[in-house]
Amino acid sequence: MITTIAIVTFAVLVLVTLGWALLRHHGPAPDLQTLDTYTKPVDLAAFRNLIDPSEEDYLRGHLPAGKFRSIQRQRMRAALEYVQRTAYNAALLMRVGEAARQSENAEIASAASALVNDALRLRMNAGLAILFLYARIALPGSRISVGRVTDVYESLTAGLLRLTRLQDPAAAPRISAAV
Amino acid sequence: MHLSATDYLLWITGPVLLMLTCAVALRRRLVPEFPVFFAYASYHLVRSAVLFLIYYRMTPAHYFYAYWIGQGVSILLGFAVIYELYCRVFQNYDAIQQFGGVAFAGIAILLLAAAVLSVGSAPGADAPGISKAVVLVERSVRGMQCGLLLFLFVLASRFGLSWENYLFGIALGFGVFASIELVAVAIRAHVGLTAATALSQVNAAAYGCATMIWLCYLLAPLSVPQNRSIIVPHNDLEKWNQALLRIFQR
Repeated sequence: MITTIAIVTFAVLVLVTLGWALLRHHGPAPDLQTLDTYTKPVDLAAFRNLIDPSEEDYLRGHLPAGKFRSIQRQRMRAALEYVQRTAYNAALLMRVGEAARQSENAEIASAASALVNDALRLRMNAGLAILFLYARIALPGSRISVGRVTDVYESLTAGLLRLTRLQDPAAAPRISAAV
Repeated sequence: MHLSATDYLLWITGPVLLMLTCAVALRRRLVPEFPVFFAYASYHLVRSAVLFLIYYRMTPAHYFYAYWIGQGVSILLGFAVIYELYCRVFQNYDAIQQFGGVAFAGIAILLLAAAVLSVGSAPGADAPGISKAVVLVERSVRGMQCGLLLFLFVLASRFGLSWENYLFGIALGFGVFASIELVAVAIRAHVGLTAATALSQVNAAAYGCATMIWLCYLLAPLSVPQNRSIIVPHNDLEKWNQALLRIFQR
């Protein structure tokens, strides 16, 4: 009986997921005109401060161990929120990039393709970063490292330089402010 | 065994819709894009016709063996279609082009292990030995197919991937069929042969539903690039990534 209930529940979960995917697939896709209503702002300076190693070392050296762990947990939770926002915005950029990939202009299509792949890499690495941050929330006193991922990020720079050359000067400031 | 009008209607509906699906795929020259799916649909079309003939011209034993041998091939083709979906969903993205095949293999192994573990739960007591085995295998297979499709939708959502319309329709139809079939098989495994006729009709209805979904998505107009100027937005991906990089560099 328990197995039957478990299997039926699983099948219902699959059907619900399909329904949700159906709604998402046919839902409105963000375009450039409305992009700023969908994106979530990211305060990059604050984010950098939260993950700054020297800042962490300073707090570690000047606070009692218990207080440091408490504050460090709060800092990592805040950093987590920023990472989640960047991943969310990257997903939006991917959808905009997908639309631009269909452009008849080969240069725009190529740049859009690069944007999509860059955003995809960001989402993948944001996923890794989220796991990393959860580990640091659980063990605030530790110095956990997941290694270097510089190779992934280097390719982003080249793609973005190419995209910047293609942007519309009139729309650029608004879009830039939005994301 | 006597078949009611409902049985005939359900038996005929699936193949008719499938025939239309194949015709639309050929007319729109979509076969090279989904060769495995087209093979699956064609196979089911031929299989339905052959089973229909065997049902009326030969003995029930012949029909039994023809049905279950055909079902074995159908199951293998079903997994091949899901593999094709995995490859197609990821292939448009350079960053994760090879990920589809790897993800399919990994998830399939996990689900196979779960299916083997669930074998301990025996089907209904009134079912004969061979039926028990068949129901158990069918339940495991449908469970694996549901799991593979669930993971595919979840992975696509987590990565923020977009689906081509046809691809989405094929996956949706398959998912609806596999999940309804899973419920039917699980209930049959629990209650035994008493609900066999009703559940057989549910199975046929689910299949008709899946073929209807496939047909609708194949008939949907192709998405045409919009004429308006499409601009790639300026963005802060580089800065975000540099900031993320600092997390990893600790």
